[in-house]
Amino acid sequence: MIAVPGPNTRFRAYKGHMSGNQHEDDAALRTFVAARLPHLRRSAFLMCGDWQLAADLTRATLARLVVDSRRGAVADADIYAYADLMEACRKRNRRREHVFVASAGAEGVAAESILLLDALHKLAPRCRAVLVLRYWDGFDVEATGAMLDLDDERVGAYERAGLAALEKLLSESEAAMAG
Amino acid sequence: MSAPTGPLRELLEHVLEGEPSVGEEVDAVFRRADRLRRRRTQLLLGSGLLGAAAIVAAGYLLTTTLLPGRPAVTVTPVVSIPASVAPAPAVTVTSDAVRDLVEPLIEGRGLDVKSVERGDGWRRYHVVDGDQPRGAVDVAVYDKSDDYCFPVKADKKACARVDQAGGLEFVRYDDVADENWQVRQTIARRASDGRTVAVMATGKRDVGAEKGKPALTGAQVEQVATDDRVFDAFGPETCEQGCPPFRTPVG
Repeated sequence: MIAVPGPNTRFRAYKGHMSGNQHEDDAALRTFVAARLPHLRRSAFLMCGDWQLAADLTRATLARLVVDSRRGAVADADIYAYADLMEACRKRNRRREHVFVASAGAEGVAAESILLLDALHKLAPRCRAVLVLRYWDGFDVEATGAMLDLDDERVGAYERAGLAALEKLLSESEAAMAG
Repeated sequence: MSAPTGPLRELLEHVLEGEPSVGEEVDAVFRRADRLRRRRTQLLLGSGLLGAAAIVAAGYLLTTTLLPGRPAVTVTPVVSIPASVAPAPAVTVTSDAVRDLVEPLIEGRGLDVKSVERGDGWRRYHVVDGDQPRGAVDVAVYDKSDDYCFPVKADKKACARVDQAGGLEFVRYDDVADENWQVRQTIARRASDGRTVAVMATGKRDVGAEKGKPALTGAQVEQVATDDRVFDAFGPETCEQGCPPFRTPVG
């Protein structure tokens, strides 16, 4: 079982504001990066279905966060990181098909997990992003809207549509497997 | 509106089984950040340099297009012109390469060029000592054939014995018999193309021995006449009409 944060767990220790002391700021940045990296990488994996690609997108996002934080251009590190990561996943998804790729060392992935990932990747990118941010990362509607540049109503609409589509896809897949 | 909880999250947790370890990912993030910062700095510097180069180029183009190379000089006509010389109209010139050669010698003697007359193939520089006239320096260029005979004042049929200076042959015609009005003159000819230059410095006539001295010494007149740059300074000009009267005519 992988240790994952609770649905409402937020890492607010680092807000992206620099204190002016370079050593303290770098230490705070490193702490934030170390704490956030696994969660961001999992979210990226749910978005793109490829651990290697997810790791690369996460590194790029956090590198941009580090550079922009050092020059004081980040107001909220969480919003910045997730918004940047979702945008990177959205751009990448335009260029590749949604194919689930297990990690090199994985011994085997349950069939249900593959079905869920496939169903997730059949959703529209916005729906998928809303579901990942809301149900996996545990962000509220306001934060999710800020990350995806959507108002609250649109977040709600995407969430409802995504859940309905996901439920339908999973039902169809289970029926097919049972049959 | 708070974040939802429910079966979807539990389902998603199973999807993440087989997640690779984080390993050195944090260090990789900071290395990548350093590379990104360097790239951004280089991009910024490159943009700055390009911008500066564009500004310099635009400034150069504007200055060369809109500004003249040298302020135009209006030459003042001079009243005391010999009757035999047709007065040249006032002309506006942008440069005078002959003057550039003569003026430093005049200024070196504490004198100034007050005004200039010029025509095709000739120049006359009026010299002042303070606000007092000190005569003039005449320079003219002629085309003379290979068999040019340097004149001898005492014998119109004879040819003067010439001195050599590089590819030039020249004769000095200094006349200091009248201490109130002395004349220093040299005629020099370039053997290669027959171009012949006459340079004459005269003092102010009949105003006393001091003011009667020419603005240039005989050696300086010879120096100007035998300077190859004087031949080139006239370019294609040749003195044919309205030339100043030399004490020893070039003939």
